[in-house]
Amino acid sequence: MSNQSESPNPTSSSNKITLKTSDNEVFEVEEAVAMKFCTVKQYFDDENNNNVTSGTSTTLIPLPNVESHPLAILITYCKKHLEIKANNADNKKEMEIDMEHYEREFLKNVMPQELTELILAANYLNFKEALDFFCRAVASAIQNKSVEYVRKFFGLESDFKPGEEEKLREEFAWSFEGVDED
Amino acid sequence: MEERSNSNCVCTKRHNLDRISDLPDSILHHILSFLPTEEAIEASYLSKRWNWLWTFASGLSFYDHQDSEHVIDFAVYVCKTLHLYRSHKLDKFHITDFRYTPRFECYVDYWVDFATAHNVENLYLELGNTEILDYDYYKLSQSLCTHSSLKTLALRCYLRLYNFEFQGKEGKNVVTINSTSLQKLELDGGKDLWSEDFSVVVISAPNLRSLSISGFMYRRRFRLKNVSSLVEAKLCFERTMTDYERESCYSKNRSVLTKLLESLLHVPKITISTWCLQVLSLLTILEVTTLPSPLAERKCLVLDTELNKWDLPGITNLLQSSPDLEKLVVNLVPSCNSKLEFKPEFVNDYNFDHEEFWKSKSTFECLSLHLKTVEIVGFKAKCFGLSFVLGFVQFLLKHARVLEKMVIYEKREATNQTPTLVEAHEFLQVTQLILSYQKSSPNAVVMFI
Repeated sequence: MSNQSESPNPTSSSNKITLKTSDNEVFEVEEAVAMKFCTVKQYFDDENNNNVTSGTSTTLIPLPNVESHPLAILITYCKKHLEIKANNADNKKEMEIDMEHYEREFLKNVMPQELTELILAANYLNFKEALDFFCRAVASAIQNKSVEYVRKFFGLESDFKPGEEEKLREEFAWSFEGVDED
Repeated sequence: MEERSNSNCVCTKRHNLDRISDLPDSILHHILSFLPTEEAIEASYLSKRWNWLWTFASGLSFYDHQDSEHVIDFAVYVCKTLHLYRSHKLDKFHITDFRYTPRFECYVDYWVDFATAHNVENLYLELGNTEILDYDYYKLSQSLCTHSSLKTLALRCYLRLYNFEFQGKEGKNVVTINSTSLQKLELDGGKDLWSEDFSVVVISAPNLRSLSISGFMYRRRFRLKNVSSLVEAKLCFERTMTDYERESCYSKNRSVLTKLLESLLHVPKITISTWCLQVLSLLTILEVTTLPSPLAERKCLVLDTELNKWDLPGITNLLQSSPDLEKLVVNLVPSCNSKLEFKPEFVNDYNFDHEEFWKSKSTFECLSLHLKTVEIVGFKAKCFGLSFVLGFVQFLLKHARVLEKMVIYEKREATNQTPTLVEAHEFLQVTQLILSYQKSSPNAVVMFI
């Protein structure tokens, strides 16, 4: 994997931060990218407070709960996110349109079963925009779909005893309307 | 491109490793909050774990899509749902398109109380009904507007802000939105309805970043007391007047708008639509010779109008009063219903030839020094107001000495049809015309998108 050869981002400072994943992959990322991961930012700030003289280039931040696979995707997403934000600094609407377009394209390359690990990684890294984005992606994937479809989508088995589901449905009879064809 | 292929190859390496069940409840609550509440409830049927997950979703949003006979079912459903909700903290609470009548007053009271009791941060209330009279509108208690958890408040359609305790002098209803937590406020008055609402809305929100006033505001007035943190403000409202009071309303509307603009001098981005622009035109024509508008610090100006003849003096007023302007956006949106009714005598006295309008204007400070970007959005080669657009574009290119780019976005039709040969030819002709205009900035690029 070509993690070390991340192309330099002209919009951010040249400071690099090194992240080490649970499967021992090492990622060198721009400071601006790493700072979007609040967990990393926190670690970095704490380190700096404890040891003011230590240069950033030597800091290696371990991420024991994140694997290299979701991290690579999150870094890509984050870089693009920053880029779009920088390109549309004074036009929120344009930024939203660009972001929406990018996210739509992005999701085409993400398998549904990957969303879970992306969400967990974004959650651990405390990268709010990505967490919201992936959670929203799951929500829109199941919106207007039948229960059976969603079970299949999530790989869930119904564990209701006979009659239990019906009882629940009775309670919320009104909500069971307006479902799309699968 | 490289990034995409990169992530693609890592994606295909893994299959079916993870399942939604690996996620902790807190994240599932978050996912459910992105769904309309009725669908979040439906997720209960997935499995036992999902049974009551929705009752902790961080947001609730209800959308009334029943026909009008079943409004009561919707109201009851919302109440029933709220009764089961168990989280103490509610990030967002949205009611969309609820056809309110006075019989639902206690229901809406309950929803609003529920939201505030759960420290709601983002509240959106859309209560719409074109068939009720204004004294039947839902009266929203002032205490909501001052609730300390609220960060975003959007009130749409036929709402009456109401202060139960205090009736100002002359029996006017003074509503104070006084909040240090509020960051975004949208007041939308809806459309096409007559109202006797004389209320004065006082806004004092030192942390407010975005303010939008739109729709029919009838005779409401606004007083912005402390809005020092605003970064954007949108003035897209209209006020109403009757024939017999037009004389006094002219000056009232003028003073309403002047006061608003004066309180927004520090705001970097202002959006203004047809009606407000035309009131500003009145002001420019009648008063500006004696008293020029105070200078604003704004950097970005957005005009939501199709550019009508009587917008033009108002636009010059804004350009004159924005010496630091760096970006100008014109959203060419239809403004058929939102024009100001000018009196025939006024039109007689102050009529001008719009073709010559810009030619007679000299430059403005912002054009000489700062304006770098112009965007024209929704451009059509064949439309009624083409000459207005071309006149303005010509003027800008001629005088904007530091202009870097002018981007003209062609209007896209929803049908996504490819243009006919005739249309394409017309468009080409107009683009050639625009490109032939004299430019005072040597580096200016004109783009058509």
